[in-house]
Amino acid sequence: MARADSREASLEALRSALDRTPPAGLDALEAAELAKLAALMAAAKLRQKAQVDAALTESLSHVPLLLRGAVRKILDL
Amino acid sequence: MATAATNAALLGLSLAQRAEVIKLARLCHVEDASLAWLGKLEAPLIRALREQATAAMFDADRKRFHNMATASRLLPIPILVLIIEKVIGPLICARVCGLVPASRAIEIAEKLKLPFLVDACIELDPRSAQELIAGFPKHLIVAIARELAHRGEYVTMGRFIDLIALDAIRPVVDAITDDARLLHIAFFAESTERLGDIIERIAPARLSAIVSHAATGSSELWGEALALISGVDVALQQKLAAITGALPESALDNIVRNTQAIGRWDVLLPIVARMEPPLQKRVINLPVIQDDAIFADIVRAVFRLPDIRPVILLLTQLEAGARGKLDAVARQIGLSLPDPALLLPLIGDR
Repeated sequence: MARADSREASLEALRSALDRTPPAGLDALEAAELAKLAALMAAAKLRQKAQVDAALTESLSHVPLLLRGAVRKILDL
Repeated sequence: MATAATNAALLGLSLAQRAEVIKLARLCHVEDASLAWLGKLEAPLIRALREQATAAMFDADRKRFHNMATASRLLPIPILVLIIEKVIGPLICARVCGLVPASRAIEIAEKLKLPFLVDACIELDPRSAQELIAGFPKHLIVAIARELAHRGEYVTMGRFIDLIALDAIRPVVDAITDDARLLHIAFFAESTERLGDIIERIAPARLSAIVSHAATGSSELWGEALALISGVDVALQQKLAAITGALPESALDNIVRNTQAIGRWDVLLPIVARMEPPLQKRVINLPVIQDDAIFADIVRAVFRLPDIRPVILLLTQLEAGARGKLDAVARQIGLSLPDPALLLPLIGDR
């Protein structure tokens, strides 16, 4: 029962990391491996977002001070 | 490329799984070997996971980049180029360019410096830039491809192979003079159909040189060549098999040793079975094959094949002494190869 719960929790984490239902056929993976996969995907997404945010912030530093507010708004920063 | 430790960790995976695991590892910025455990999944499933991960990573900021793409339309191209290179940077440029009309994006790309353009290509989401890449002028594609190959960005190039215009393939192949690099790129190609398109456009002399290079190189390179040959359609497989079978004996010996090292007789034997009978006979009777460990692995590989018939027929080309030895080795490991006479009525075209 606990094993099924942990598997379901890992699948839910994976679903959340991928923003969609994961592909069918992941039954070959143990619950711990599914959790590892979910963590991998979540970390990749976070990393990507951090990279984009850093690049946008860096770009913003080149924008004249007076315009930064408006540009921030456009970029949703 | 991969280190020895990576090779060892990924050795148990099929060639297609290995390519997919490496692609996913690059997407997630982790060591290739750290994902070897995904070998429990078939290659198409690993690919599906990568495609979903790509979508999750690239779609998250789409609205932001849409706003930027819209705002960029207000600026004249020379000023935009300046801003892109000095302020925006390659990562953001890559994310926005697929959202700008392709004709305008191409006009901008032609004015960007090549190293910047290549940096942006590495970050590009090919899904959103299909029209853009397909419309890129040939000279730019060749220049980018040459630089990507120089940087060892084979996974990136594999992604783009599908998208570049067919008439750009030949100039790109000609521009990449290192045969090993071409094999690395082919190994990561997303579509085996496109691989066929590429091989058909390679001059025969170059194709022979590539096969020869793979045959005389490392086991890793030979694995990539095997993935390429086994991935294309039957006609091309026969063509590549014929080139392979006609190689000098020293090259064939190296192929045997490398196939044994990577444990991929299940891939090589069906390719040998596609050769004309005289070449089959030549290859299967190489003295280097007549080794107990190799024979044992060949027998095990036969039982992993989805269709054993062509390979059983191939093994009838073994000379009597070698065939006796093969059967003895099979008995030692508790296996028995089917009698080809019983299979012959079922064997169709090679």
